[in-house]
Amino acid sequence: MTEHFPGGSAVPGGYYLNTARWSLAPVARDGDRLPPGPGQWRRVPVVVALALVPILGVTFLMFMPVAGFLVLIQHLFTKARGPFVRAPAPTPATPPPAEGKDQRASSG
Amino acid sequence: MSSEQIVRFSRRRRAEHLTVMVLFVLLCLTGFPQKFYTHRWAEVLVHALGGIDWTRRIHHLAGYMLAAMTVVHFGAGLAGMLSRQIPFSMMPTRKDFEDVFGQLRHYLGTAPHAPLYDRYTYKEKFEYWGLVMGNVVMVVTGSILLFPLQVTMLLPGVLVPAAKMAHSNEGLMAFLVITIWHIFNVHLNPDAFPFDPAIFTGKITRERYLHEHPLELARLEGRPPPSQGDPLPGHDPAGGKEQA
Repeated sequence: MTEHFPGGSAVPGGYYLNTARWSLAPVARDGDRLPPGPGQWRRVPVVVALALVPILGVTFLMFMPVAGFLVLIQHLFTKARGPFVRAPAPTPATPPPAEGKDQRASSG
Repeated sequence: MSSEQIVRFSRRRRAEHLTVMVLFVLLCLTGFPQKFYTHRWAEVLVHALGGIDWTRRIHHLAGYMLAAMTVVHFGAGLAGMLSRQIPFSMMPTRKDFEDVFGQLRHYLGTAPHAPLYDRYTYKEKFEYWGLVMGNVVMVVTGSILLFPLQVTMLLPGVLVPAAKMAHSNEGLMAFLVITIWHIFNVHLNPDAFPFDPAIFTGKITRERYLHEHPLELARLEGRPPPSQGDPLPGHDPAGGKEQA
């Protein structure tokens, strides 16, 4: 079973993949630390590390041109839906403090 | 405004950029007249370059040099990865995918803050991978066009017209990406206008680093990473720049 390490741990040298962040980090020497931050790191073979770099690069290249259209469609959809969505009921306002109490506070 | 300068690009990276820039201009100048050979401007340009033979020679020479640079770049990258000495800072991560949406929503006014960036923004990574993959396509298809007989001894002949189409259109796309996307992002955008010399001098001001790459600057200075919406340390809000 693959061992998992939290961010910032001292680990044996190798390549580590953080599946939560889709991030790959090399650790040059035994005892060096992984990058800090969220997510667990797992050690991956060198072949996997070398293959992941161009795969993620090409995936990103394919994704980028689509992202603009997705955000624009989502934005237009939200705008178009706006008039038909009932506004949430206003939360009851906090009652103002009693006059006498307020005066005591300001005088103290 | 602080005028403290921080080195962002090493001498090697600057040399690589300069070489690619010169080769790219040469390849465009000698390639497009061949693609659009029926136009008057193409005829004038070919004549100015010394005729079609010289135009082709320059194009091939620049192509060989770009191919060599691509091989050297891949070799150096592979050696760096195998030595485990370099961080994979150009590798897209989940944050880059999220940053695309975050930045676009900020542009549309539906997100109050733009994402905070590390060493490379998603735009820089997109350009890098576009260049790398574009170079691979250009080098492979260019080689097929240079050695059609040898290639078709091993592979189907249909590859030659396919390579011609891919080479020609990928070249046009690269030209448009560079002239529209790259030139706008690095020179014409309001933060850098009219010219960003960082890739030539290697340095940018701390103020700009803080504005554009606050996560990397925090790491370099041993500070905890800032969060979205935090006031950035040492950043002068009156300096006229939006706090990223």
